[in-house]
Amino acid sequence: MTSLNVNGRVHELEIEPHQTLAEVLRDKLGLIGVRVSCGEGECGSCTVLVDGRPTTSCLTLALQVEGKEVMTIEGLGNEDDLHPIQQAFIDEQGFQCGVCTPGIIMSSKALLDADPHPTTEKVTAALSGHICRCGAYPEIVRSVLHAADLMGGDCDC
Amino acid sequence: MKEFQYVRPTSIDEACALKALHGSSAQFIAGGTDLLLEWRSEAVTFDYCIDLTHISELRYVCVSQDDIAIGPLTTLAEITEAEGGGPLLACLSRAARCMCTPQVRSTATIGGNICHASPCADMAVLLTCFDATATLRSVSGERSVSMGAFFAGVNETVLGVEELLTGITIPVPAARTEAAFGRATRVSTDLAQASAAVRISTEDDATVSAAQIVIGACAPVPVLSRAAGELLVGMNVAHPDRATIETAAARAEWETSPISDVRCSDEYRREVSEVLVRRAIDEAVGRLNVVPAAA
Amino acid sequence: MTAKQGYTVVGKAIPVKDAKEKVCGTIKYPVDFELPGMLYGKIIRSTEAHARIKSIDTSKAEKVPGYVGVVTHEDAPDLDWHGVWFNYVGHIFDGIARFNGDEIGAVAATSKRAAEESLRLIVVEYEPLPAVFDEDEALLPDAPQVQAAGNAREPNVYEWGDLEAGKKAADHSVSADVKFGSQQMAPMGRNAAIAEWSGDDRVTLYTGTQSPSELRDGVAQAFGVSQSKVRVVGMPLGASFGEFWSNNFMMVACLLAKKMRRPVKIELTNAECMAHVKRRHNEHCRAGMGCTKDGEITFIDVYHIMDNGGYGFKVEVGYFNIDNWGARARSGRYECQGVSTNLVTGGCMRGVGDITMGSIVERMADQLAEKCGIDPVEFRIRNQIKPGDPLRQTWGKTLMRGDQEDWEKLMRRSGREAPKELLDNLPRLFHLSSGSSEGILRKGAEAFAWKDKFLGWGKPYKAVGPKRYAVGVGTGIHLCGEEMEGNTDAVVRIMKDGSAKLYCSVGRHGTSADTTQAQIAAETLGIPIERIEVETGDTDSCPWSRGSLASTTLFRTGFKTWAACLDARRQLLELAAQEFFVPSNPSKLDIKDGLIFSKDPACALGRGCGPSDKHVSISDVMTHMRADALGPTDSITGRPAFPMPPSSAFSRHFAAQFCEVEVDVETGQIRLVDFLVAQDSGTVINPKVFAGQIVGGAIVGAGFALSELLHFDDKGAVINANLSDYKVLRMTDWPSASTKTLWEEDPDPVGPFGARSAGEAPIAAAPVAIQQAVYNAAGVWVDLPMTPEKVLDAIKKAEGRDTARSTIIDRVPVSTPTSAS
Repeated sequence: MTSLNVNGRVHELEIEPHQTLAEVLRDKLGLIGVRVSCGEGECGSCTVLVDGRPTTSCLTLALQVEGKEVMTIEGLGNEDDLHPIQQAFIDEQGFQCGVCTPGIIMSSKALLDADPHPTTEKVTAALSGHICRCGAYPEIVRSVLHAADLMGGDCDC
Repeated sequence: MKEFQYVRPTSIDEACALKALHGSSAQFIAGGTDLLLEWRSEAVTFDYCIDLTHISELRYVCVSQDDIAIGPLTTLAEITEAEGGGPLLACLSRAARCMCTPQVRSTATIGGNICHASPCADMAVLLTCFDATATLRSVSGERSVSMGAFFAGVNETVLGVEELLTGITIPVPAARTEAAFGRATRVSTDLAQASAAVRISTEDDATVSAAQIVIGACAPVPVLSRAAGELLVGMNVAHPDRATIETAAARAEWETSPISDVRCSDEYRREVSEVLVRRAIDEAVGRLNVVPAAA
Repeated sequence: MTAKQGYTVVGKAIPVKDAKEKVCGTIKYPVDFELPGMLYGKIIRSTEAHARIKSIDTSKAEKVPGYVGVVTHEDAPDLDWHGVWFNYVGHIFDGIARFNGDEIGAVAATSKRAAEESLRLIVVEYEPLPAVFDEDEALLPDAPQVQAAGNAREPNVYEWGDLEAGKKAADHSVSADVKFGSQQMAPMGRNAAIAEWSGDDRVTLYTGTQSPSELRDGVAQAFGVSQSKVRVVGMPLGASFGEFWSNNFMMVACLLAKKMRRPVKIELTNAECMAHVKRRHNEHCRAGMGCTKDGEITFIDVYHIMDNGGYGFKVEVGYFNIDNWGARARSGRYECQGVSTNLVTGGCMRGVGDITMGSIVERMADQLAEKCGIDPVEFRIRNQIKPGDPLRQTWGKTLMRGDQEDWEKLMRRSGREAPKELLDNLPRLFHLSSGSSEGILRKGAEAFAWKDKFLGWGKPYKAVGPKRYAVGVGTGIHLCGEEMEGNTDAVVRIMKDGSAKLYCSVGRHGTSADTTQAQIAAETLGIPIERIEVETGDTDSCPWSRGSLASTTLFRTGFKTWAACLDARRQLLELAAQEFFVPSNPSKLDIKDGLIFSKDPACALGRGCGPSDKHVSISDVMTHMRADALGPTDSITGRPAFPMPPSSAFSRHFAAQFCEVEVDVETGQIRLVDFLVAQDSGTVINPKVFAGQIVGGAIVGAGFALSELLHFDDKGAVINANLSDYKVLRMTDWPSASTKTLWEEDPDPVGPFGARSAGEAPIAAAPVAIQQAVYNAAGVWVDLPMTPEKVLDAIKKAEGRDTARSTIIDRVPVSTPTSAS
């Protein structure tokens, strides 16, 4: 049995060595917000935070994150209690089909935690690991900048 | 698709012992960003996966007057964040920022990059240019290999079946030194079609005393052209000679043996690698001409 | 259908209905969907481009724990099924593979891993057949035939004027001969098909599709069962761009589920989505264009072939640049032909025809403009179609029963009358009803400071070292849905509590159609949008409707939504007038915020239901109706009472884009510096959704211009079915900070509240703007995709430089090379 700390809770899980973090989060914990598109580390839709760092969960073995803190979109906020970043994405409509959205929001959280007032260049660079095939890039950038405003630069969200 | 067993050593000795036990049926895994893809496509198979990521003694960046020691498990993200290590580390840091994506940089390691030894591996090009030394250890002992001798071919290094890369050491030249790196890509986030790294040292703050030029992604291994570097020796960086720079770039490119692949043709690699070398020389020269801030 | 002032929700950027689900990650896509007792399926795919299947040996696979069974061509019905718009015609399996990766069977197991392992152990024996991969070669008489009906489809021709006279009258002529490789949709989120049979040959299919109704028909056809026995539940999906309409892998899931007698889920890998479902056609455009020295176009002559791959049967690529440029050209001839090849099926992808053929026509126009010394914005304004001009793309003529007068009689006669405003403004068929590029070109040029940066053809406005900066402009056009393969439809139900549900079969692939349809419904009904829900994908409850393709949804489905809501509104007001208002006259009443009130002081509330003496709620009316045991019904169902005018015969949407590029003339790299995306799609229903669609389209078009290309090996297999080597643009490739949008809202006489469609013209305009900008920066026209290598090659050729090696090498003393290590 392996202990995985996901969204603040410790889960004891039977994990096979070959299983990726994405697979375990989705199939064993039902966290479908961890989206798998390319499955090879290119598109970023599977991005989760591991010890606060954006990580490609489709290319990480689940066993490797034992002892670390994993956060998915489900741990950030929900429909009844939206995180300001989620609210910002709604306000600016920083999405279209929605597949890339949770991953982008997680990377945005890591960015805003490290840099509460990023420039557009910093936002773009931080999100360069995400493909939005719908082409919502300008709206996504606006969403992150709006989130920075909503978070006021000093809230520990 | 076979199964594999997972083992997690917490020290270098434990890792070496496991590798000695299982030999070629075991693979070390660090970030896994290359290995897992190869395992899924069945390009590699293994019975044991030895996870190195919990060995904290392999993860460090230590700067001294004489050298920069980097643990192979240092992630590319950590390299982008490394500061205060002088011009060579700063160049490594700038280069790491261009590689892959922020997420992959969170887990991909410098050791993984050079051990996977892709012809377009960016860290490999830089470490070769910086005359780095790799420390390899097994249960039988330890040896050092210069980066120039570390790469043996496409996805091939001189790492023995039982050996583990335990250290990367970059000598810091006594003379004033700057470095630059460039890569050509199709779009912004991409493997390099060609890359170039240049390291230039000067004496009397103006005359090139040593130069090293390496081209990547244009041969099975990084191509270090000593002849090209030597052409720069004696040049005055305050008044750099264009013909000398262009000749050095052409000479460096001349030693490459690029292939055509889905990214571009061999001809394009030749053309653009020469441009990259020239621009890296210009950048290094430009940095040398910046008067360093008073300590 | 004129000005949109004073609307409640139309024109407002309200948050889309599924916003919270998307930002919280709770929205379910097909890959997230499961059924109890479900098996996992994997498709057995051919490794030959063209072959007869001799045997499929499952003996090793059968030993895998969890293996359950297979289906092959021996299990498939001997029936052809037809996909939407000729994008697929064929059996589920027929024992022949027609492209590398073609579906030839499927295996089911109790877990994903067991299915993968079983697939690995299945051995297929092939009898290879000769294969053809190139569209020109496939037209040769001795080419291997991909389909029994032959490779070549009937050529499709439109012509007007006297082409020979037009050629003679040209003072300047240019020509082009360009081949296009395939763009691929590269949708995020992949797709899955989950099928379950029950009872007496009834099947339910859950999948991501842009066209639930047509998919339902396809399943019925593939299995030879009644349409009433088939239910499709269309689910949200990623950016599909035409990939997921009705696809054979969905049929395979149904077949596997039928034989296994258990629900089956087939989940596609990303590589399967990119290599084995569908792609944009390869196309070959040979064209010529000429104009007078004053820049009046005298002829356009286009011969265009596109490859349908293994299973497509399209006869023409679908293109409307023939209208944009042909309306005012003295003469023209467009011939288009579809051709089968042994590559993965080629078909419609967003902006079909106009992104490829259109970019050639635009390039020729630019070259003519240069010869005449005319600015490209000006040249377009002078030559492009304006409202009232004749259309050259006249597909719909074969459907029309009579002429304009006959059609207008039909419109006026149907059921209860269509609104007077519609009948008073019926469009003139086969002429453009509204919209053009003119307004957006003028406004766009001003907003982009075009005059400051366009210094003349082939002249960068700035050079910094090896970098050249220049601007370019491009236009695009596409239709607003077509009436050829079936109408759209919508139904609305008013609930007893005054809320409403709209049923319209549309795709949920990022266009937020559920929200914009709800906005149309809310505005028409006078019910707050929060109280309107939309069912988009269940064919058991949605009436049959043309799917979300060919820019159909906002215009054509929106029209039916509007019409259905008008019908429901009429019923509500009649009931309210009869029961609550004195005198009882529905035309005096109106609805706002779910409350029915009189607009005329002479008509007043006779019987109230609450504290107000001015209005009754919809709920009051419904409750009253339900309480009447002798009354007609307990709910109100609104259905369209009049037909949708044939939109391909009068409606187009227009895009104009301006861009600035930086070209590095030493490496050939192009960087997008600035972009202005302009559009005329009539009334904008939701500005945020609209801006997302037009900018999103520009970004995908820019990807086609710069880097996207599928590569095939000599066995017809896609070798870059992955996002590492199929390069789509990322945030760092697009100038988000400086992207501007603007739009003209020339209202359409037919579209709901004057709206027209939006999604495809923008993808066609982007490559044109970028290509022209590159020409202005570096003096070269480069074919798509304009990779750095192609740009550099073009520059070197133009300069007469040796393309093989740098000439500097001559100065280098050639001695024994020092070894690298």
